[in-house]
This record gives sequence, structure tokens and C-alpha cells, in this order.
Amino acid sequence: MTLDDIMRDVTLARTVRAPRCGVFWFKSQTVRVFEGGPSIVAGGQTWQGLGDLAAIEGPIEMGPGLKTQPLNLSINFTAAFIQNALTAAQQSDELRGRYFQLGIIPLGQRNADMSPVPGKEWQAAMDPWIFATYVMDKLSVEFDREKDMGRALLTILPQTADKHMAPAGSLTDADQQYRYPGDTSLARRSLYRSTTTLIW
Amino acid sequence: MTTINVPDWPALLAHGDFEMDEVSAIWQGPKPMTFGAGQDWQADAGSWVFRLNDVPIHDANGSLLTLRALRAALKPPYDIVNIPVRDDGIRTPRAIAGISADVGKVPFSDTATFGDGTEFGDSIVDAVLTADAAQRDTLVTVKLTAGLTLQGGQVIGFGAGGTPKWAHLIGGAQDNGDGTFTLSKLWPPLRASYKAGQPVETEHPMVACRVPHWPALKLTMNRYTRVTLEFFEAGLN
Repeated sequence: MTLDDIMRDVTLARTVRAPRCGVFWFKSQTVRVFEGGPSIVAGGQTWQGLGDLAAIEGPIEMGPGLKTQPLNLSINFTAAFIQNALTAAQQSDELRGRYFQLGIIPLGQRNADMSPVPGKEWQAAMDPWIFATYVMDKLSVEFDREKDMGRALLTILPQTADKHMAPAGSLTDADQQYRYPGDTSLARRSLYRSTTTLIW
Repeated sequence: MTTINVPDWPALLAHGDFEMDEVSAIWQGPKPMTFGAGQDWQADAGSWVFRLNDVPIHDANGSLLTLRALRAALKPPYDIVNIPVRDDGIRTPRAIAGISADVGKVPFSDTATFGDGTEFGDSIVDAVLTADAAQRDTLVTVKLTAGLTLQGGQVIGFGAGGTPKWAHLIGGAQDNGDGTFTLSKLWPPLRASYKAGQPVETEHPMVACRVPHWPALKLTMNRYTRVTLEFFEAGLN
């Protein structure tokens, strides 16, 4: 990836106008969102504005030697039935383990000579610049009946978050079946297991 | 997008004092050690905040019942209502030479007027878009079909009854000399796309806002009180 002229122009400005954007690769659909206005067209796609409904929290750190932190995406909602829908989504394979991509959409269309196009200050300057891929992990939902408001917190892990563990590295029956199909030595372990995860 | 029926804020619940504000999140970067200002980061243009201060609530004129009905019909924080931009001080229409400001006044069908000579009022400034405008644009050209003039600092609005309405502060207005005005630096950028011929609201612009958490009504003598309400511009999602 090289910095092209528009990107350099946007990022060298006194005020950098480039909202973060994200792509949720849910099982049933792909959802594109960005921080800001109602919606924006960038890269041939329409990105829905998060507005005041949701916020991305957590540091975005990348590069060699940096331990990438998980992102938290919190979504406020107001109806109890959404809580049920979110819980159902969490328990199905709708989102867990699926990809979430993060990037920015530089704003402000430019002419070929880099002069700004009048009236297009808040349009996308170029295709979105996607720079990181995460994995959606845990969705926790809470609902406050007193305030009639709820909050969903989606934890999004870096792709490398679990790479220090073997894919089937726990002393459980499920992992034992992966290692040695048909072996029943751990089948009854849940009856007397401790709360500590044992690594194979 | 789902179709929603957005009510207008009732005129009965007029404010005692009106505040309009623009919020835009700007993160300031570190200041350079040598000279100049640091670099800032801004996610998007921002949105409106309105405060209706000291709305008088009376049992006698029905405003108490109106407010209670609104509380029942509109649930915070995601139901929306169109809030009028009633800041007359910043958008006084100015007369154009040669065009009467009386345009739009309507007499009775037999051309009679009211006893004091006044007529039915109509829109003083009628304007339409002359070209299509895309969502998030900040430059539009409007044609005044009747009335006064447009200036930077005034507020124009878009949207029809029953739908979300959006108001935009004019950064600059250039008279093109042929009855059209080029309005530039609209803030916030257009919330929707519009076709040429779209009517432009120049006198009573409204903004779709989220309903705040309704305040508890502490009625004096069980009859009257004043409430202050804060509204945030609704997102379109």
C-alpha cells in the first residue's frame, strides 16, 4: 500500500477529516458502517452512519512489536425485542468468529490538481482505506428496564489474538475428539473438573 | 429505509428562550514543539443541538395535556420529532429591490381583506432547487420564485410534512443576477439527496430530532410549570 496523492493531501491537512469505517462480515449479510452522517458512498458501496447509535472504543495499535488490543463496539438500543435478537445472534454462528475490517474514509473530493471540489467537502475523497482485519468474538447484552435502554457490547479481537494457543489445546473431551477421534478417556471429565482450564 | 411518520413539534409548546448549537467532534493532536498549531482529527461535520428553555406548561390552555400526549406517543431516545428553528434573530429576510415583500399575501376570494387591511399570510420567500443535489453536498443553487433574498447566516430547510426535516445554515449566498442564488458551505452537509424543483423552506425550517428523556413535571398548584428540553439531531439510521 502506497500513499497516493489524495491520501497524502488529506492526512497532511491541518484538520484531518477521515472517519473510521468498518465492515461486518456477518453470516447472513455484510454491513458497512462509518462514524458520522446519515450515509456515505465510497468505493461503490453505501456505508451507513453510526451516528449516535454506536461507538468504537479501544486503541488501534498496529505495527511490529505492538500487541494489538481488542476493540469494543458498543451499540445502544431501546427496545427489549432487540435484546432477544442480539442474544439469538450471539448464540448462533451469525457473528462469532467472523471477520470485521477496520479502515478510514478520507473526506473531501479533489480535482486532478489537488484543489478541492466546491460543495464536495464531505464526500468521500477516494475508496475506503481498509487497514486491519479483526475477528468478532463476544457479544454481551444488557438492558435497563428503568431507563428503557439497553447496551450491546461487541468485543472484536485482532486476528492474532489466539495464535499463542494450539487450535485444540485444552484438556476437554471436545478437543480430545479433535486430536484422537473416538477416544473416550475425557468423556466424563466434566463431572470432576476444576474451574481451571488445563492445557494439553 | 423504513417509512416513519414524523410529527412536528406543536406550536402550543412554544419556548421561552431558544438556543441552537452545532456540535462537531474534533480530537486535538499534540502541539508541535517548535511553532504552529497541532493537527486535529474530525470524524464528520457534526449535527444540531437545540434547547427549548422554559416552555410554559399550563393546565388552562391545553399545553399540559399536549405535553402528556407527546410523552405517551414519543418514547426517548429514538423516536423523532421535527423541532422548529425559531432563532429569528439570525435569519431576518432582506428585501430585494424590485420585488415586493408583500408577495404571497392572499385576500378573500372577493379580494376583500380583514377589517384592519391585512390578508391571509403565505410564504414570504418561495424557493426551489434548480439542480439535483446529492446527499452530503454543501453547495446548492436555488431559484427564488417570489419574495426576498437569501444571505449567509440564514437557515434553510428541506423535507415535507410527516417526514424527517433537515435544516442547514448557509455559509455564503451569491446572487447570480437571474433570480437564482448559489448557496455555499451549507452546514451540516445535506442529509438527503434532492431533485431539481424541490421546495426550499426559508421561513420555518425544522430539524428531525431525537426526543430527550422527558423531565418530571413538577406542577405548581397542580396547574402550571416550565420545562426545559434538549434535542439532538436524529441520525437517519
